[in-house]
Amino acid sequence: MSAFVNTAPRTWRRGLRCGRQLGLLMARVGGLWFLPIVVVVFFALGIIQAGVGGFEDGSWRSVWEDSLQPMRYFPLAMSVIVGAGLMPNYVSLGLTRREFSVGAALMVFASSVGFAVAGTLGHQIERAVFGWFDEVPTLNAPHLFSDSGDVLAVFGEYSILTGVHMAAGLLIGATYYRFGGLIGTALLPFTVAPILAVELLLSASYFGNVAIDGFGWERQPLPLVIPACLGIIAVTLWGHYLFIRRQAIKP
Amino acid sequence: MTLGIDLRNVTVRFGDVVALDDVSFSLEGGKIYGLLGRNGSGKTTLLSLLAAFRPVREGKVLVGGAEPFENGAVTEQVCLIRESGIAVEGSTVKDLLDDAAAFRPRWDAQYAARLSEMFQLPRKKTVSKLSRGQQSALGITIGLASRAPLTIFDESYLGLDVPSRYMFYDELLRDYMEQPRTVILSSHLIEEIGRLFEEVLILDRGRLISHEETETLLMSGAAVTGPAHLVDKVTEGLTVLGQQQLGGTKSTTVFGEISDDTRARARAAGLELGPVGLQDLFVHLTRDDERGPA
Repeated sequence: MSAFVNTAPRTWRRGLRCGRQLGLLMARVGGLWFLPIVVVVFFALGIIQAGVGGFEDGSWRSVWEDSLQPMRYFPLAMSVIVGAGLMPNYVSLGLTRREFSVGAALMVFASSVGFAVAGTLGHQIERAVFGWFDEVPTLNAPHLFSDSGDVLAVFGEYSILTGVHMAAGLLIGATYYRFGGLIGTALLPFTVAPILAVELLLSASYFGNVAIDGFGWERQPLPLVIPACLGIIAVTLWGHYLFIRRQAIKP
Repeated sequence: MTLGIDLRNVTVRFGDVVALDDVSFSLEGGKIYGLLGRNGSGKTTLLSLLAAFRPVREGKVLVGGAEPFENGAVTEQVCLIRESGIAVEGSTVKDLLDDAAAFRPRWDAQYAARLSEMFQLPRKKTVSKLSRGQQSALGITIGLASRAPLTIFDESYLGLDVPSRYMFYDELLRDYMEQPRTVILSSHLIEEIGRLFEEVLILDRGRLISHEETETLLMSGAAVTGPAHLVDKVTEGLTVLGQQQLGGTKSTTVFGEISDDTRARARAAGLELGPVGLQDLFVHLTRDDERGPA
């Protein structure tokens, strides 16, 4: 009987360590580099809006609302890199694919919370600034919230959308690593499907808008929608693990 | 701590290509092993199985008595350093060393710092911007400082210049004496590195054609040199690996046990019996005139 028997606590311990490393990477790249750029860009847009007295019909629309786009596409891109590039690296450092999957899931969770906190904070700051000018930010796209002061709903939408984008990013990265650029691209309709499903369920953002305006889609009750969205994220992360669990590391 | 290795009837196929063909061997561990083979002989595939880089589909691989694939208890003890692909784009030397420190339970940070200094590695530089030699040095630093009970270098030092390679050989030997472990070195630079090997495994077209202690392997061949007709007479019945003739003088390399009687007859006839270098033996054992370079 060998002394080298793997145990669940070991998997979780090393998975946590992997999550910490990936989380630190996201914090460094996302927090120190990406977020400051987002803040500067949207602050500049806010100043321009203030200067011209409102972008469209004179009302002051929420500028920070559009931060939802970079706040999910950047983590998506980072996840693709993690799935395609860091998985083989970490396996070559002695991690198992299962441990990496645990770490990647923790990274998705922590990053989603982190970006959601930043997103929510941004909306509250925007409200405060608009308030100094006796304005209330108006929202253009459909959201879980009709008022950006609804902190819980803002946080929920940001975290769920960022989370599903990151989970799908891992899957996209894994397919590109295994099959290469051509097939990886051909598989995008499948690998981005979780994102579309969550946007549809949330009835938020671009695809939510298309569903509502184009097909008369109505959002289901939130006690159904939220668990369903979290379930999709969990299934996507599980699918990522199933996809890589027998994956050979390329020479 | 050292790890033994057992391979039982391992076969790996890539479509129609058989990369490893029914390979079986046992390594007791605690030695420096040389894994030799021509390009495409299956060396990297074999090492990938040991490090759980790929699953075993036919046969069985045991490291420390346990199957390594998806077994974290084993994989954290195995460090395979390859020639390329050690970092993702944008990673710095420091990032890579930090990751190794996080995941390698026996990581020696002080030793890593000393090796980084010795190889003059710029810690803040991105790995992709390092020269090939510096990338090799980084791989070596990670491999040695990991202090993994099974440490494998798969041609990972080829990018180093000659002085740096000799520094690596000396450092490997020194550290191995201080911290015994199982080391596998795969290389084409047999003349340089052969002195380190305690046992040698030779792969050829996916098959293990030799697994011997280095001394035994070297003793299993001889170069018989002298007048052609006498050389032919003495080497009659032996496995001839190669022949060279210049005028009436001939040198025949034979493989297999040469009896004391044959040796005595050869010397009595005025023939010279010289040793065969590991590289020469390797070339002879893996030469296939039908096959072009891989």
